Amino acid sequence: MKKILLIEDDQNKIMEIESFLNQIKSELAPFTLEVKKSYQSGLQAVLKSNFDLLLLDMSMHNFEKSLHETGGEFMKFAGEDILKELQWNEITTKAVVVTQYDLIGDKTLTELKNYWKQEFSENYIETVFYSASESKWKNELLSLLKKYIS
Amino acid sequence: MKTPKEKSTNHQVKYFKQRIYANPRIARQVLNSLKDDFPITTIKKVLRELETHPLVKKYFYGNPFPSELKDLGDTFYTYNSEIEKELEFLSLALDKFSTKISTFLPLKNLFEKRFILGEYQLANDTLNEIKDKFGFSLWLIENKLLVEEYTGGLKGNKEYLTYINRNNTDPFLTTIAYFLSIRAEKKISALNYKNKFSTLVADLNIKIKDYLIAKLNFLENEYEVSQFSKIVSYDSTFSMIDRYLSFLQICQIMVTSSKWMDKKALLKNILSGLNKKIADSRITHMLIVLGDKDQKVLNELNEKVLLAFEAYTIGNYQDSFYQAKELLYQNPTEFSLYELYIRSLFYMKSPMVKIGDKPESFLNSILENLYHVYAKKKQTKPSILNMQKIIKQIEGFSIGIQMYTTLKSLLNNDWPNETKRLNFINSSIHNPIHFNICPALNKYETLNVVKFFKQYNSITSKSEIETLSFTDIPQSRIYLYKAKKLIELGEYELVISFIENIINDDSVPIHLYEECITILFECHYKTNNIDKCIDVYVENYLINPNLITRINYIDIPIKIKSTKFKTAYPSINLPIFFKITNQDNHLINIASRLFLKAKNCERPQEIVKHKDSIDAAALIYFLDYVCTPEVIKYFIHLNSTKEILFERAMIYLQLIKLDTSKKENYWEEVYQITQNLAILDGIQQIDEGKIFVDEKNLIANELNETKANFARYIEISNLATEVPLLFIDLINNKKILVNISLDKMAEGDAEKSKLAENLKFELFKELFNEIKNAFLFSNKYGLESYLSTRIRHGTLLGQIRSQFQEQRLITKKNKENDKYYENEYWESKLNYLEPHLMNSLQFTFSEFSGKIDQLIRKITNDLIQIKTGNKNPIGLFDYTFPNQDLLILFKLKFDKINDYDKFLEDIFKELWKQTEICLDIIRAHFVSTIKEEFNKYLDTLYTDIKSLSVETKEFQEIYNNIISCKTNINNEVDTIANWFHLRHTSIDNFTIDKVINTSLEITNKISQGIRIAPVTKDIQSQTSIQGKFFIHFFDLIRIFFENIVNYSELSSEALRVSIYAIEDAEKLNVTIVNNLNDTINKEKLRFTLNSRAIELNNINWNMELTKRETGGTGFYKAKKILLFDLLNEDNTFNFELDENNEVKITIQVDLNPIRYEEDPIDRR
Repeated sequence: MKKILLIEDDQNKIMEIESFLNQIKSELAPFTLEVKKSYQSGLQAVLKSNFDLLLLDMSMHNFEKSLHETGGEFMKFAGEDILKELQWNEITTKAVVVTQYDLIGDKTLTELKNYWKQEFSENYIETVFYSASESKWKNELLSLLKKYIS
Repeated sequence: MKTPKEKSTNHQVKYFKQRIYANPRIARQVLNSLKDDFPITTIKKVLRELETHPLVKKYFYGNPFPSELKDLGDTFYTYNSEIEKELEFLSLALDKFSTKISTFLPLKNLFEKRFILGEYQLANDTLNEIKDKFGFSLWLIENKLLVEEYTGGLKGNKEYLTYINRNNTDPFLTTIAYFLSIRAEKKISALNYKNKFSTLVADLNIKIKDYLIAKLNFLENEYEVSQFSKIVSYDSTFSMIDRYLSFLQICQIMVTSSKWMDKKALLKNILSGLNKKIADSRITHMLIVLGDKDQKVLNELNEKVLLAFEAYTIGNYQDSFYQAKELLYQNPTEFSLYELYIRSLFYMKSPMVKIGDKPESFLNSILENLYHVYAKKKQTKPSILNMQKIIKQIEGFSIGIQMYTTLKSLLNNDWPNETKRLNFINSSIHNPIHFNICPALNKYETLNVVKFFKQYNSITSKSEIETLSFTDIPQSRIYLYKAKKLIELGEYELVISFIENIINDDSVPIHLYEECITILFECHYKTNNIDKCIDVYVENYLINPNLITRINYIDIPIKIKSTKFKTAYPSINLPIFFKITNQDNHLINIASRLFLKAKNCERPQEIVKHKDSIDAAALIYFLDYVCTPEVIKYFIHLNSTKEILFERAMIYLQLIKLDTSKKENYWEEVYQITQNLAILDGIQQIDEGKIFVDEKNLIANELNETKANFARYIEISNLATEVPLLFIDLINNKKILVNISLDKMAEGDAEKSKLAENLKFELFKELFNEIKNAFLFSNKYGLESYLSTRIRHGTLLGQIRSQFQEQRLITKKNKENDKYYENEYWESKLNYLEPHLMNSLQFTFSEFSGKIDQLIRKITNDLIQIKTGNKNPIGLFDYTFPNQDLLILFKLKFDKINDYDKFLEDIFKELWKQTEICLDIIRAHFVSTIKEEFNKYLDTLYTDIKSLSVETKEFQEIYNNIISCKTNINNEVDTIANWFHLRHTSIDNFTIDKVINTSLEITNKISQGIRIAPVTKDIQSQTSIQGKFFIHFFDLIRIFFENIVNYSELSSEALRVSIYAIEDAEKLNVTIVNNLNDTINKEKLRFTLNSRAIELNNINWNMELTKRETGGTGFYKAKKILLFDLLNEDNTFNFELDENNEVKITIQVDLNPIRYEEDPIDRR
């Protein structure tokens, strides 16, 4: 059984991705999906278990928000920090960045893609631009999933 | 037939003469072709023949010395040709006016001397003399503005600028004058000027840009300028003085830069020609740089200078100091002398000594700043900035470029040949350090200094290094130069031993020490010893941060990162190195992790156990500056925000022991973190306590009647089995007939009434409803009053609205016309939009704001309400118990209960159970329906804005904000849904500061842009109050903070709030004072407050709160909290508009019933 980890803090996006993965189940090898909603919880999951693929959001809080936790700092490049940790811990899991933004900080997504490609060549595969109102991201994600979850 | 080009020179001259005189209209065209197509020899001859022709004269010489300001720049630009031709062409004009230029140069030098010495009036006289002799020039304007700034201040400067603008409207000239005026200002920093200049040239084409750089911001861009021929062309409309100075600028760059190798012969030729006619050391020095060894450059002054350097070189610092001082006063435009003066002072271990009777002169200012640059102390950085400012101001002086090139070498660990040569060209004296550029110094080879540099420059191999031995020169200087030469030869290991010899000598002055460690770092780097590099860098940084500013460390972190830290030893210096070289926090964390791991530690606070084996300064720095929350947040074993703050507090507690000198600062930090932790704790408690009914007080104070009714219920239900009785159901206006046979009923009773099967059940329902009503609607202790204060009273609105406001998606409503304000943020950001598009965008935002507010109103006014009978039909707190359900309850449980307390307890249990059911429904409603509605509105907003079809960066920002808002509002709705839980956690005892801080934090979070930052916060109360009163206190203080935000009508910046909490005779007195916008009608407000005070004194608690829902209820709620929740009806609360027209709220609370005591007595 293949394992996918989705690190994402937007509940709508999580639901959309979950439902899409459900739809395309038959086109892929059997897999399980785990969801984490912050930098720390995502990182801990990555360090604890082996995943076949990470679906990675870029900006999120340090901790999962709850009644007892404000979430801590909002980290604009939390996803990139997770890629750094993968590199640093010599974890070779492949990662797809799934983001809704085409401008993060003062960098365009194209600039960032080039940088990630160069800097995290071991892990980073591609970026999928997610838009709730469009379905293009589904095709892009599917073709990547077919490659890595088959 | 031959073309003009093929003809003999004489024929060519004849040809041009004929054409120019025959048709003056095409004369300029003819001259352009002459300039472009013919050699300089022909041009010279034509010029000689035609010089008297007015157009030819103007074409070649422009208006060389305009006597009127209006004439400056008032001529045509010459045709723009190749740079070689332009220089040759210009040299003809310079040659023509060489005598005048030669007369100008000493006056220029005299002006500069006088200005630097602070003799501004004399300097001004010289400028006037120059104006009289040579007319107006950009140079004159530049320096006149400078003198005006220093004699008449900013006013004088701007008055002179106005004079220029009145008398000349040439766009080039006025732009240049405007910027020269800014550059002359005393208070403008170099960076500020640079930014202003960058804005000016940002969108200009490269030709104009280069010209303006040459005129206004040459230094720092000198080797980036490339449009030389255009500079000459644009300059042709100005004075011959300006053209000469630009000519020198261009030649210097071409002479010193390797980029212009192919032009060197031409330059040599042009400069040699001019050197014979113009007495300017810069031309002579350029020729020397170009390899012309015949130039005679040494004079009496130079001999004196060399003797001063000789004294310095052999360690006779007192002599070199006095000689430099004397020379400096006579030659204040020579920067080498400043250096010699300051270096000698350092060797003498003497403080700064000013020269002359003008301590504020430029001379002394330069000396003082240079002293601080060498001192490598606190003043070093500001002094560098001051030097940069001075350089900018006197960029046109010969010393300007000398200072610039020297400062560059002092700030970077390198003095590139280009700038070294620029320095040489612009000095009129000879620093022996330039021996290799100026071999004429050989003449003085009997001097140690000359001999030394000669020898130094002759060494070509390691084996010759020992020839650099001079008994009269201090050993440390010999070692340093040996090291420098060995670096050139690549003998790094040897260099290290030489340098170590120097730095181990305690008497070495700091500037020399700094030079040594810079070299040491470089050698370790070249020998691939990264750990040593890091040690040199960090250890010296910890001694003095100014020591390492010249070290070029850039490649080290890159190398370490690329090898995943395998190339670096994980000492404590590793994370410190990453921190002080400004690496990203994640990288600093990795370096820290490695170090801690090597020491078997998990958390930073644990490292203290190794304190005996770690350098104390490094350990303190590591804990204080490296292990900050931004870095430790990446530690995987710190699992929450609280843990991060707690770890940081523990680090400070360790630092208190390690670094007693800063003990008080650390305690302050610990206090601050404790406050933050308390606020986090407070926020959590507030969120957990939103759903509340004060059951204990309700029973004690509101249900006294119920106990009697219960006794009656038991009694009557027992009687009912024996005799027929009739009761009236007051609620349903029906008679209840009990135990009466049908034939005894009155007429119509059968229709209007029902026969109660069980009298006890009917009585039970009465009691149940009585208790339920108190539970829900008691104005003092019931659910409704807490829902109103804790959720509906602004909190929910602020919590939701702030998310949209943060992303600039909504605006507020104008109360006067009921319309939403225009979105000013996007209005100014999108100022390029066509008006119709801007209107559509504003309309979209306004509609969106309306939808969001409508949804929030629906939540507060309709959903978070208690549904009863016909009231609040869609309220989600539904306590309508159907008869059937109550009957089951009765039969199964209550029928058997005869004890009042047990009865009451079980009724409350049922009510809480129903509350849980409602809360489940509310949470589900929030996370599904409410979220969906917000998402739907945001999606519509996205689509509506997209339909405007504008694809710019700013619109991209709007889309990004909508997406962020969607994520944030979903999270926020989750947080709000979480309020709807019943929790029974106990709350810690607290002091009043926790309440005030938590209230401030929450108010600022939800206040939609207005922040309260108290100007005074004087809390003098340490009484510990029982935890259960925390939320009541919070509710109380929040009401007043929210009033400030909503009604003061002031921005965060203008708002002045003071908070005092003082204990006096077992009473806690809290005072909150805030100012108001001037536009608020104070009389009207005073009247409102007085009326409100009267109303509050006559308050009927059973009526008032139910009548008023939102708006204007704050004071009632505050009074209710004070009297009932805080357990003393004598607690007071006053408000007034004081004599300063500030609102003053005074609260007095009796501490006795709420105080925490070791063995608390329930005083209720």
